[in-house]
Amino acid sequence: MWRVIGLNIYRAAETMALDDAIGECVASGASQPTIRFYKWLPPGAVSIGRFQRIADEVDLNTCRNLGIDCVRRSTGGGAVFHDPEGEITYSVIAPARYFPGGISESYRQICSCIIDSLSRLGISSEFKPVNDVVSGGKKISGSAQTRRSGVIIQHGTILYSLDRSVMFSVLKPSRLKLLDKGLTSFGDGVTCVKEECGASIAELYEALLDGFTDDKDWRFGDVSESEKDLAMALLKKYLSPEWNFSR
Amino acid sequence: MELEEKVPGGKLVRLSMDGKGDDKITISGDFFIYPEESIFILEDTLSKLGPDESMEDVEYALYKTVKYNDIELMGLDIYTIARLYKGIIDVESNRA
Repeated sequence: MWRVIGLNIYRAAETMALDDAIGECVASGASQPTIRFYKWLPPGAVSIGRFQRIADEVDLNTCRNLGIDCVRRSTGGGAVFHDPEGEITYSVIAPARYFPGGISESYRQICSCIIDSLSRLGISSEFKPVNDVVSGGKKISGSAQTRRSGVIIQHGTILYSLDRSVMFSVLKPSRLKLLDKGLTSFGDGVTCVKEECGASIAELYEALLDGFTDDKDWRFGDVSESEKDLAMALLKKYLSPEWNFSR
Repeated sequence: MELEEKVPGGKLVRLSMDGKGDDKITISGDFFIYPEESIFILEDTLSKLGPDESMEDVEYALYKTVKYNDIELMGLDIYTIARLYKGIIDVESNRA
């Protein structure tokens, strides 16, 4: 039986700590496999991948001026601007045996829920290895996964709307990526639900709920007290300069 | 000094050497490594190489590290890491 934690709003460090806490509780058997959906506290946040150097990827001055939090994820992948009204974020936290076939295959399996969700809104999309979902060749969703104690924690964003000016004022993607994709600007390489169809963000959430729970035995649930306590203890890590500036 | 490369069909990889005496090597980028802590083992492998190692030697050292530590790389490969490492070593050697 899966637990689904409905849409909530979190600060960047809080949501990272909560994923870890739920992961530990799923590993110990204290919590059920979990799917959670969330948004980011205004004015949003930037998360960077585990192996990125924050100064390479993020305009820290602009973030500071806009009041935007920056956090290093436990997962690899690239830097993401999390617009509070521009995306819905998900986490899937479950024993690895639920997704057999190795790491690449588990990305594909979990991303298929996103593809299914988007198709419910009339948006055609496909999985693009390593970790993206694209529509018409443009990225509409990105995911990242870590594995600990036999448990997968995969989180990712589904873009609802795009404020490209803010996104690319806080992010500093390498020009090499632009050249590699044959684009003239980074904004051309991304799309969002709002630009692909007329759905509201509530309709996107409903589609995600359906797409992620199809063929699963599930119930809505809340974060447990032990998960909250653990998340509180883990929060310090994600707020610390030692972690966020560790590369 | 640092060099970067976009792995075809993969991710961006940067390799930097601080050149402050201990030649600390850092591999950074938007790739994935499983388990994540293995990044330190890879960096350590490069740090222990001598300046005259051939490309094949560097690749072999990385191959052994990946194989014996059961490391999975996604969006990067040992050949890119080796190429960036040799690129930096060659530039540093020409400077000296």
